Amino acid sequence: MNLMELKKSLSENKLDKLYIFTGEEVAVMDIYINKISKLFNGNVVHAETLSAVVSRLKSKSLIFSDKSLFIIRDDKEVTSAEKIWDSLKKGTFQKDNTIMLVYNNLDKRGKFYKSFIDHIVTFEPLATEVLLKYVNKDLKLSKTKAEYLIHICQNNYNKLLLEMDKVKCLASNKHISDEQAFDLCVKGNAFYIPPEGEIFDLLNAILQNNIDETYKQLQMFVKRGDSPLAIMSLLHNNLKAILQVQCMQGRKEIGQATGLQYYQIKNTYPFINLYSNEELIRMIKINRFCEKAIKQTGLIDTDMILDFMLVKIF
Amino acid sequence: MNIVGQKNLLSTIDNLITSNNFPRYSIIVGNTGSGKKLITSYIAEGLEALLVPCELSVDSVRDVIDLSYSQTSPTLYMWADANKMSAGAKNAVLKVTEEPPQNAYFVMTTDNVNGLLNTLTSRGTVFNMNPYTTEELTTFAKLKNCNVEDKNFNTILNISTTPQDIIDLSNVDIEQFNKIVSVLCNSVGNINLANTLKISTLLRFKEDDKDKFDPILFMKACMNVFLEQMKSDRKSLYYKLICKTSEYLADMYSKSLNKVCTVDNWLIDLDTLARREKEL
Repeated sequence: MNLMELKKSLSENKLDKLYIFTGEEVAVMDIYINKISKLFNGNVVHAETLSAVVSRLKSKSLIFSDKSLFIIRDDKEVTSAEKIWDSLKKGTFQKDNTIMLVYNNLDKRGKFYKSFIDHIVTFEPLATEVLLKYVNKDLKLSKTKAEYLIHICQNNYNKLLLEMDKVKCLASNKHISDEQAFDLCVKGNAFYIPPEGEIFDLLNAILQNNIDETYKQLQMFVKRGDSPLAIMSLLHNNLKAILQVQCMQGRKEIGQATGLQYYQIKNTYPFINLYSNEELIRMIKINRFCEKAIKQTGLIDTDMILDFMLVKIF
Repeated sequence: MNIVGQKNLLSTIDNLITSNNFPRYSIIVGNTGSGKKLITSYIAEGLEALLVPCELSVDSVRDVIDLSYSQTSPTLYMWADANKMSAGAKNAVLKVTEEPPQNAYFVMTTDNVNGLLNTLTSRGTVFNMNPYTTEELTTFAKLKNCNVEDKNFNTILNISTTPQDIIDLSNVDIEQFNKIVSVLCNSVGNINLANTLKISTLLRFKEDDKDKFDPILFMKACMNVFLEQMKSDRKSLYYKLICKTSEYLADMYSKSLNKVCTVDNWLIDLDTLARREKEL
């Protein structure tokens, strides 16, 4: 289901037995959750897990005898409990009730996403033109400044509301125009500017044997709060693929000999021969040592593990 | 109920049931696939209680406990893989074990008793699953209609320690399994490392990969071949390979470590050891 279809069904006062909402645009999502809650003629219950809701519905508790809308946020159990999916789709549990599952993020490649695609509504970031209208409604800003504000908020309506609020409060407290308040915010670094880059930038820097870039990316990595275990897992897979391709250099049918897919082989090409086979094996071993140090032996603290690993590698 | 093996455990359970002394709260400890759930069903049958498998989430545990106080007929609540419970859920169980309700029995099954709280294990009666003998596993295989006369059945029997292992190995192409084990064990160090590392793509790391081989059983099968090769003149190499494999096998049982990474490192180490030995 897309957002337009949801909008249409709500305008016709039609409610489904199951809704699954996901996406980064939390503010818009909340608007629709409130809309459905108002349209729903019954109790609105916020529950922690679907299993709790199901067992309560089964036990026919008097408290839940009325028709209810159950809103459940980030229940990971449902996404892996395939046994209950069919009943959930058919509405066996729900009876007169409605279940709304809300997720910040759902893996589009996952079975759950594919299985419930007709029920999932994704709240994508809004287009700049749409957001410009919201900014113009509340603030008197030039188009360039409004576009800059939208850009640093990564087109996220929720973040935009927070940043617009800063400008509005400053303008009203200091009795200055919105434009002047905006300039003051920029000058005083009052707007939150998210750290740039992504986990793959750090991975590429390590694989390219680029020490300066690696440490630059490491700083960003720490700021973003990414998981060291995620980079370690990616690093292992990439080092292994590079090692396999390097071992097979000059020979035909690399895919057949290594079991790697074509795209995996192609991805290794920019990193071939930047490390020797012995160095790659040593890096795989360091990576393994670090994983055990976090999970098993407890030798190194998780916060320090990447520093330790990179010092060992370079 | 037809249960193969576990004679001592079953007789202990029978005695407790017939003397009306079966504990209200107990823990069954045994390897994955050793039949812990089957034993729980056996207990439920003996107690003439309704068996209710329960979820591990803290809310579900609390609901089950609430429900257990209002039961009028004997009910056995089972938490399988209880070591995976959150600390909150374990503490919720702790409360009910202090004063269990009249008609309720609680059974936790786990493959790692250390994964439970000490206070939980000390309050419950711990039943340990006994290891299966070769005869018991053969009987089980016959019950499951496996062809025990087949020339490959010995391989299955040699590396299986639980009935689940027998089922797992009966469902894969055992000839192909033997072939890959043999290629790895006899050619490691002589073939390209890229080929050796390909083996991990043939192993099952996700439940979906049904046609692939269980990595632990694969490593055990290799271990058996290395043990056989100890009689050969490359004794020192195979001794080292056995030590390395047992080290990695222990890591494979650790639930937190990345299994793909463990197997790849094992393969790299086998290759390195074999090449070093060749150079000497």
